[in-house]
Formats: sequence, structure tokens, C-alpha cells
Amino acid sequence: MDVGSILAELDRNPSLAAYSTAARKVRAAEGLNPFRAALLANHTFDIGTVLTVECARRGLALELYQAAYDQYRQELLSERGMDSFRPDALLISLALENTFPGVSGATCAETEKLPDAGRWAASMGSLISAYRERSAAPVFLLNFIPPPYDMDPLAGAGLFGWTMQLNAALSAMARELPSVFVIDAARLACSTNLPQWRDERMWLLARAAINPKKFPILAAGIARSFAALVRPAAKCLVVDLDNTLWGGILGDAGPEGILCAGTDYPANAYAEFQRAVLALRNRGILIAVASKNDRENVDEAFRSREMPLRPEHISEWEVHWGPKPESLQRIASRLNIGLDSLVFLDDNPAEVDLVRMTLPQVRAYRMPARPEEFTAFLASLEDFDQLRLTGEDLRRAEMYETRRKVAEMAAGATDLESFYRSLRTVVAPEPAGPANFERIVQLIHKTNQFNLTTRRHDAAELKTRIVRGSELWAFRASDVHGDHGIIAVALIDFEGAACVVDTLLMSCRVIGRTIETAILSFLEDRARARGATRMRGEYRRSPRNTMVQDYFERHGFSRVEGTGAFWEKNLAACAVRCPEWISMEPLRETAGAERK
Amino acid sequence: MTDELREILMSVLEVDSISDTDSSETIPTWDSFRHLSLVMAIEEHYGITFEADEIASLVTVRAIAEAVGKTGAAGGSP
Repeated sequence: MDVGSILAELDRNPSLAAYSTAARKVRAAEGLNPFRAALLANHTFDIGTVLTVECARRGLALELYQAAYDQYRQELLSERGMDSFRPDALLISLALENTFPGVSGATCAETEKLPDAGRWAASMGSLISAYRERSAAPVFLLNFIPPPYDMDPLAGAGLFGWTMQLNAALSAMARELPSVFVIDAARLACSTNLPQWRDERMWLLARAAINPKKFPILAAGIARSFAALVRPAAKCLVVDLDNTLWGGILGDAGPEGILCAGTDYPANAYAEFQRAVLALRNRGILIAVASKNDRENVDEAFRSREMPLRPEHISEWEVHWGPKPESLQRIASRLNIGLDSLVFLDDNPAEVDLVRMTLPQVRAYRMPARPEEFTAFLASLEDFDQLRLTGEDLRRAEMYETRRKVAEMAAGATDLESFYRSLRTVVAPEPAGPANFERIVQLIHKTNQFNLTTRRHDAAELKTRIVRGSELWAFRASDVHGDHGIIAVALIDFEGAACVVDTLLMSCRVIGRTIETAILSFLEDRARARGATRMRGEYRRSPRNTMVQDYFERHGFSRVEGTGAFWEKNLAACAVRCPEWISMEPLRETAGAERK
Repeated sequence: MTDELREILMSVLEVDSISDTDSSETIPTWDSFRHLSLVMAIEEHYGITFEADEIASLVTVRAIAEAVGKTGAAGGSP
């Protein structure tokens, strides 16, 4: 039985017993990616079966190590069972009353002195840092669920308020540590009948802080975070216009008749949805429009009507009467992203079905029935999930805008070389260090097209390699249009007289301007500086990386005989020069010192 | 024990068979953590609520079958 039908059966009657049945079935199912999680808790917390199911729903085959009751400090501080389990992630769940003995819902927050939230979070941070010395596995902390009752509900913020302070301190601590993430259990609990999150009998009898009936909601939240570690986030939201971005049919109602602004219902519901779309754009999701309309009408609507979303926020337009699957394909190809990076929203079930049928990679959804449900629906989509936003994410939409201008310039330039020159590209190499490590790992995990080997090394592996003498480099690029941030990563190993390119990848937004040649010239310099006389590379074919199949050949490598994928060159005989239209910034002294 | 109850016990305890004489002593997965999940699953299925001081004693198949039967739900011994 495949996972889809197991889940469909479960969702018809999602009882706890049905979850157990489903968990047994999905454990035998195929096609899921193994995921090892270690659970540390200081309360009775038997979430394994439900979590197995919710992980399977997101493509993960969960294997769980459950540490003994209340052993989280010991497990974090010293090598124990958890270390030999080699988890992909740690999950820590602490119950408020078991973490702070003497504090409970019966505590009067107004008259009793409660522990300092910041100090407690700091001590938790040092426990996690102790574990970090041994492992780079991401750590997920479930934050505190407020107790089901509160002695000061009116006069002050009470214990509820103090719990929220603790959670804020926990989040602040997590942001400071590499790969530590908070899962907002408090929000899940508060939005789904908080008092029911505790079964008072189970708590008093067996220190079970969370009612198993709420495990499905909590497990979904946990699995969502786990999945965000491995599942690439969607990069572009494609929206329909009529009855999606605004109310009414533009062709019938005219620009003045559509509902998209103001304080009246339902126009205000559409405006709220537009603000939510804009919020996605502000954190790096590109926005595109696919609508069956006359383009002049649409332009007029955006020109004459005040609405939150402006034409400059929209990266690609497909406004015509042609089929939407073709529109989506063109959007993906112009943005240079895969179809699986698109989320498509439409109110018309026929359009959604057509896209699902013809382009199954696209994540297509039908809008809810009423506009007041739109924003909550958009917020519930897991496709845009990202555990942490980098500076690049926050500037992405702007950078794509820049790239489009570059493409326009290229079209205008009479010859390629003068176009390259006009860009005035600057490439700056920098060694891996604390400031760029997160971005490096992110690029390694999501770059598909310009990626010679598609090796998805994790942070721990990268650190090990550096310690063993490999060099890990990040490359920044900027040009007349602005700063692109870190756009390429290379990992090179040294084996005797050979320098081996383990990983070389580049973000698709700067391809086609010879930066890849500049980077290779830099790597060859590094190889020579380390005494290597030969450079070796490998092209590992993936479904998406054919654009780099001739990379080594173009740069003077010859195929190693008897192998399909290995390439080699003599560094003395055939060196690559940095193209003269690219200036390569020299390494800064301080940058070298940062290197570990 | 009814078939219905047998199904729940087998799923939650992750075993392929179970008999009236089984208990937390004979089934290794039936630990104190799993006991709570089991009790909650049975309560949910039959729409019943056990007394708090009764829960700790429901560690044999027979005791569970009797307790369910006593509530009038369809899970008691034949």
C-alpha cells in the first residue's frame, strides 16, 4: 500500500488507534527518505507513532531514538546512547512544571518570584553548545505550552505571560546558535483549545504533560520543521487574478468594478490576501501572475486601482487566453527555476486539475470558497517553509529584478564581450567561516542546475573535510546593478599532487556571464599554492544539471580514460585565466584568519 | 474481548496477535508511556472516560475488557 492511500484512509477517521495502524503500515512503505531523530523530554511523551505518520506525510521515514525520561541534560552534555544513534536531528520537549519545580498553573505570578527567563534560556543554550562540540545535527526545541489554568488571568499577564517571556527568550537564544530552531508548540496549543492540551488525569498520574489527543497537531508541526530541513522550498508563487488576487471578473466588471481595496467586505478580504502575498515576496518568494485576461485591461486595473500589490512586485506576467500549463512552463524557464519550485493558486478547479494532470511537479492548489479564508489558507501552505531566512532570501526578489535588467541589457548589447564589460562584474572569494556557513550549506542543498556533482554535504561533513585539509570557498558577486551576495561554492580536496574538485556550484541567477571561469582560475591558483600539479574534476549527471556537462571540457580538462565522469588537466600546461571583464578581489588578510 | 478492542490493542501496542491473558507483563511494548496512549485511544474510540484511579490497574487485557464492558460501550467480554 502506498503512503498516499494509507494517509487517505487515516484521514477519513483520524483516531489515535487509526494513527497506530497507519504508523505500522507506513513503516513498511517504500519511497520515503530515512530520517533519524532523537527525542529528549522531561515528561511522559509517547509521540513516536503519530510522528512517524506525520513525517511520512512529508516524505520522511522516521526512525526515532527516545532518550530515557528527563535525561536531556545528560544526553546533551556527554556522549550517550544518542550519539551512537547518529541522529539527523534532535527534538527537545520540556514541560514547564517539570523544568521549573514549584511552578505550575497554580502559581500566582503576581506575588511569587519566578525564575529569570533570559538566564534560563542562556543555560539551555550552553547545554546545546556542549552537544554542538560533538555533532552538527540540527536541534529543534519545542517551546513551552502554557498551563491549562492561570491564577492571574485578569490583574496581570499571569503565568501565561511568563511562559510567553520564556518562549521569547528561547527564540532569541536559538537565533544566536547555528542550526538551533524553535518549534512553536505554544502557538499550536493556543490556536487549538489550550485547556484540552492537558489531560489532568494523565498529568497527575504519570507526568504526561501533553494530551495524546493533541499529538496529531503537534506531530504535524514537528514534521513540518523536519521536512523543511530536507525539502527544497518553493521559490515562486504564481497567482491567478480574477476571484483570486481580486474579487470579480475584470473582463465583466472593468477596472473600477473589481474588489481589491478599501474597508468594505469582501474587498478588504482580497486586500488582506494581497498583503500576505506581498509578505511572501518580502522574504524572498517571487510572485508571478497567470491569468486569462486581456493584458491592457490588467495593466489598466493595476494603474487605476489602489491595491497593496503593485506591478513592480510581480516578477513575471502571463496574461493571455492560452493554456495555463504553458504559462507556468514559461514562467519557470524565464526565472530559470524548476517547475517543482512553483506554487500555483487559482479559484477555478478546472485550471488546477489541468495543471495537476499535465505538470505534476507544480504544487497546484485551489483557493478556498470564500475570500476571508484566503489568507489563512496561504499561511497554512508548507511549500514556502524555511527554517531560517538569510540576507540573500530577504533581497532575492530585488536581485531577480536586477537579473532581468541584465538580460535586457544582453539583448541590447551588440556583442557578448561588450555586454560582459558593461556589467563590470566583481567576484570576491572568501573562505568558509561563521559569517557565511549557513548560506554555503543552503546553496549546497538547493542548487540543482549549475552543480557539477550535486553532493548534498551537511554542515558536519563540511567541517570534517576542512579539518582534514580540504578548502571550502564561497564567492560573492556584484555588478553595476547591485550586490548579488554569495552566489557560488567550491569544495576542493588535495590528494598528493592532485587537487580534486569535490563540489562546484553556482546560483542560477548569475549564469551566462563567465563567472564560472573566474572561479576556476581562482581554484587553480589555490591548487598551485598548495603544491598541486594536476587538477581533477568529476561531472556527476543529475536530472537537472546538463547545463554543466561540458564545463571541464570547456576549461581545458581531458577525460580520464576508462571513466565516464572524471576529467583531469596538468596545471602547468593549461591554466585558466580570469576573464578580463571580471575583476577578482584579492583575499583579505582577516578572511584567512577566520578560517578554521 | 471483542474484535474491535483487539484491533485497538494490536495497533497501539504494535503486536500481531493478542489474547485475553496478555498484560503489560507479557507484551514488551506495553510500557508506562504506551499505557497512556493505549488508554487514550480506547477512551476516544468508545467515547468513554475512565476514572483516574482506575487507569493504573488497566494493565491486563482482561481488566480493560471488563472496564470497557462496565461502561456499557460495546467492548466488554462476551
